Amino acid sequence: MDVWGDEEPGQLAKIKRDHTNAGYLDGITRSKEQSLQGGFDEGYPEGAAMGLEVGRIIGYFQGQGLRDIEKKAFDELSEASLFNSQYYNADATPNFQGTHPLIKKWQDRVQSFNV
Amino acid sequence: MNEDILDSVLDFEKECYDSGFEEGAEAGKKQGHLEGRELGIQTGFQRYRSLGIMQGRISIWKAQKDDKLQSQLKQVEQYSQCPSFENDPKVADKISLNIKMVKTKLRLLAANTQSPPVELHDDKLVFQKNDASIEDL
Repeated sequence: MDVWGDEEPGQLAKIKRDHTNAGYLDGITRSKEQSLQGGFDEGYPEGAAMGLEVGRIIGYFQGQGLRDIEKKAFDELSEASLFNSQYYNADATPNFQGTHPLIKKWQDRVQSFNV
Repeated sequence: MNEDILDSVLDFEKECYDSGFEEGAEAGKKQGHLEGRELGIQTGFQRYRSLGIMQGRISIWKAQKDDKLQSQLKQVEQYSQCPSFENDPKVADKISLNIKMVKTKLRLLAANTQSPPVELHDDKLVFQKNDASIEDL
């Protein structure tokens, strides 16, 4: 197709670029909205299960009146330290199997207080 | 410009738009899923941590030999149970309500038994918005 003739070769490229970009923007906006909730529903139970475990650890030390250890557990088991690139791949999937290593470490600590 | 040419220009524009749309939709699918997932993990984490703290506190009181305390614990224990991890508005409502119900009772228990004060670290939770729909966050 040579709509614009030889004298304006850039016009065709410009049409292509403009319309491809407009399509891209509409496509990304639409599908992002559609997939957000699905991702949220997938991540929520994983975070919930970890939150419950972390809470039990914090509650344990809090109940024992071990404030310094409670504070340390709270900081070390914060979102920032649990959910970072050390433990999660770029697609937000865990690189560990089973229990999060930091949670495991603190669960063992609770165990050692119980014996 | 005759109509044939105009038609082919319009076809060409639509072709470009469609191919761009398809490419964008694919990228958006991944991006949206990832962003939603990250947000979901953090929201679930915060909500259930408070519940876990209550369970941790109760586990220590349960080990004590005190009949009065044990009967008081029975009343609060059901509220600290975890119905499900699903992101379901009804479940989220129930958990938020339970946390509210039991928070005061646990604080009283702590005072009566000279235990350390109860801190659920739930200041960030917004109780009037219980259904965790993305638009609310």
